[in-house]
Amino acid sequence: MKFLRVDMSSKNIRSEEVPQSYLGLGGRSLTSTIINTEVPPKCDPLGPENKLIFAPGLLSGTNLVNTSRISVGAKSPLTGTIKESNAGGTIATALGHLGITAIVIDGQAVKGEMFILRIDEKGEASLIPAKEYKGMRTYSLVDKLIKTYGDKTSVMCIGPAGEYLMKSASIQTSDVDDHPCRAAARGGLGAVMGAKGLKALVVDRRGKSPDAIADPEAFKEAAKIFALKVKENPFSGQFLPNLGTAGLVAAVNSMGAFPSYNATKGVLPGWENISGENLTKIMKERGGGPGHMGCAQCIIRCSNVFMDKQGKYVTSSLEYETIWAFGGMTGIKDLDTIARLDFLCDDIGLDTMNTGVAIAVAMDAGYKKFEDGQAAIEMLEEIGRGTEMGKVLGDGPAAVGRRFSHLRIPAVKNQSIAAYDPRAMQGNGVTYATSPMGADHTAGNVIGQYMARKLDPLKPEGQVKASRNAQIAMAAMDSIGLCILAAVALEAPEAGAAFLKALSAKLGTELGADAIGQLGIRTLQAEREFNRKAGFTNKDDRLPEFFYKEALSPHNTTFAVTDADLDTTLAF
Amino acid sequence: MFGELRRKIPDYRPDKGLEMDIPEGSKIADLLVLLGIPASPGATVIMEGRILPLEEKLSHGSLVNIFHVMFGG
Repeated sequence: MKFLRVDMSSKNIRSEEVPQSYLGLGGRSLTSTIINTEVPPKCDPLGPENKLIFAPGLLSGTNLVNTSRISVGAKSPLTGTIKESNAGGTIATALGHLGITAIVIDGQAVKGEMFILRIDEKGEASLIPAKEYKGMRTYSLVDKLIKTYGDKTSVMCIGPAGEYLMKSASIQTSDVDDHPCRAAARGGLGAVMGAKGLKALVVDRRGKSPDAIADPEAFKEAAKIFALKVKENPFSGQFLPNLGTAGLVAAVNSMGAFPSYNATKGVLPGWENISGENLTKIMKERGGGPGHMGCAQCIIRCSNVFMDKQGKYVTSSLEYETIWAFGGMTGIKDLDTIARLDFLCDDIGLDTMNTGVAIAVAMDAGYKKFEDGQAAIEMLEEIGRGTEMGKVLGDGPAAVGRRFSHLRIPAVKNQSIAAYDPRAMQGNGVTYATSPMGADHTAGNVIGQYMARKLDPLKPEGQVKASRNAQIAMAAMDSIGLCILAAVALEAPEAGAAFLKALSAKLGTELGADAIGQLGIRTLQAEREFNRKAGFTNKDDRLPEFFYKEALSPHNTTFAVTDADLDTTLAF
Repeated sequence: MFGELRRKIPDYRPDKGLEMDIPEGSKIADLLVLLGIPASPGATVIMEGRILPLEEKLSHGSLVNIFHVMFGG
C-alpha cells in the first residue's frame, strides 16, 4: 500500500506509506477524499494547485472478476466541481499488482514541456521528457510507447484535445489489445493532465508486489461464488456478451426516452439502423464482433470490435452512449459513420458524449444540418487540429450554446446528459441534477428499476429515492473497482453476500451489511463538501430550463420532480 | 422480440416479428409463459412507449416489444 506523489513543478517523485486517514479507501472514495482534503476548492482546475489522482479500486489487482476499474480524480475544468471519472482496460490491475494505491500528480511543468511518467515492474517511477510525443494522437502514441517499453505495458494518455486544454478532453487507456479505446472521459480531466504537462502514464504489467489479502482462502471461495453469479445473471451472462451495451438502443427508444435531434424527440425514427441487434449483425458479417474482452479480469465480454466493409479495424468498445451521442442526438443513422466518430474521439482524446452533444447543439443552432455525417466528421477533425471553431466544439455543448446564443443545451454544470431523457426517465433526471459530478448517468442510473417494473419512469413519485440509492451504490462500486455491468449480479442475495465476504477477506475486517452503503455515503459527503466550499449551492442542482418547459414526444411529459424534492436527494 | 430473446423462436424475423393467437383475456404474464420466458426478472414488455405490468390484459391486435430486463451501460 503506497502512494506515489509526483510534483510536476520540481520533478520530484516521492513514495510514501498510505496515510492513516486514507486507509480503507480506494478508487473514487480515495480520489474524492484526497481532493476534498488537499485541493483548494476555489483553485484554477488548470493551475498548479489542482491535483490529478489515479487510484485503482479497492479490489483491483485481486483475482475477483471484473475489478479492473481505475478512478481518475481532480477538480474539473468543465464543471468546476470535484470530479471522478473511471475507466476499464488493464492499468488498474497493473497498479494493483504493484501495490500502488494511488498516484497523486501535483504542480505543473513549464508551459510547453511534456513528460511521461513511467512505472517499471519493481514499482520504481521516473519522469521522462516526452518532446517527441507532443501533439501525437493516442493510437500512434500507444503504438510507439508499447514498442519502446515492451508489450507488457499499460498506458493512460491524452491526445491533442488534452494538450489544447479542451474541456471535453478525456484520458484514454489501453485495452487488452493495446488499443487506447477505453476512456476516463468525463469532466475534462484530459485537460488537467495536459496542464500538468503529463502526456502519458506508462505502467509495467509484470508487477509482483500486490497488497496482501488478509484471508486468502476466504477470498478465493467468495470470489468463485461471485464469478458464478455474474455468469448466471441473464444480463451480464448472456445479453451483454452478444449485444454489448448497444442493446439498450431498442429498449430506450421503445420507452420513448432516447434523446434525439438535440433532445427535441424521445424516439429516433429509424433507430433500428443503429440498434445493438443491427450492430451485432454487421460485426458478425465483417469479422470482429461482440463478445470481445476489453478489460483485464473480465468474464462478461461486453466489448466489441468494429470493422469496416473491407474488414479493416475501425474501433473497439463502441458503446450505447456513444451510439446515442453521435446517432440519436445528431440524427446520423449510419453505424459506419458513428464508429468512425468513436474512433476519432478516442484518437484525439475526447469524451464521446460531451462531443456528440456539442455537435448536436451546433446542428440545432443551424451551424450544420442534422443527419450530416460528413459534417460531424469534419467538426471532429477541426477539434483535432485545434482550429478556432474546433476549440469551441472541444469545450462541449455549453460552449457551443454560448457561441451561437442557443439555449437548448442538454447539460448540467456544463456536462452533457447521457442517453436517457429526464422527461421520460425522471429518476435519471434526478441523478443528472444532483450528482456532485454534473450530468452523469453512471453516477446513478435508474433504468433497471423501470425495466423490472418497480417504478414508473414518467411520474415524479419515488424518483428521488431511486436516484439516491443508485448514487450511493455507484459511489461504492466506483470505490471498490467493480465494473457497473458486473454489479448487476449483486441483486442476487448469494452474490451480494459473496462480494461482501471478498471485501472483508481483502481488508481483514468483518464488514457489516451496511458497510458498502456507508462507503458510498461517505464518498458523496466528501464530494458535496468540496463543491460547497467551491461555491456550489442547491440552486446549481437543477436541470436546464427546457426540460421543465418543452414536452418530450411521444409521452409529452416534462421533468416534474420539484426543487424541494431534489434538494433532499443527497442531504445526508 | 429483442436481444437474445429472439433465439427462443426458431427463424424469428425481426422485420416481421411474431404473430400469436392467445386466449381472450390473456395477461402479459400469460404471454411470457407462452413464450417460455420466466416472468421475474426475465423480460420487460413495452407497448406504445409504456412498460406494462404483468397483470395488464392484452386486447386483439396489441403490438408489443419484448426485452430483457436491462441496466445502465
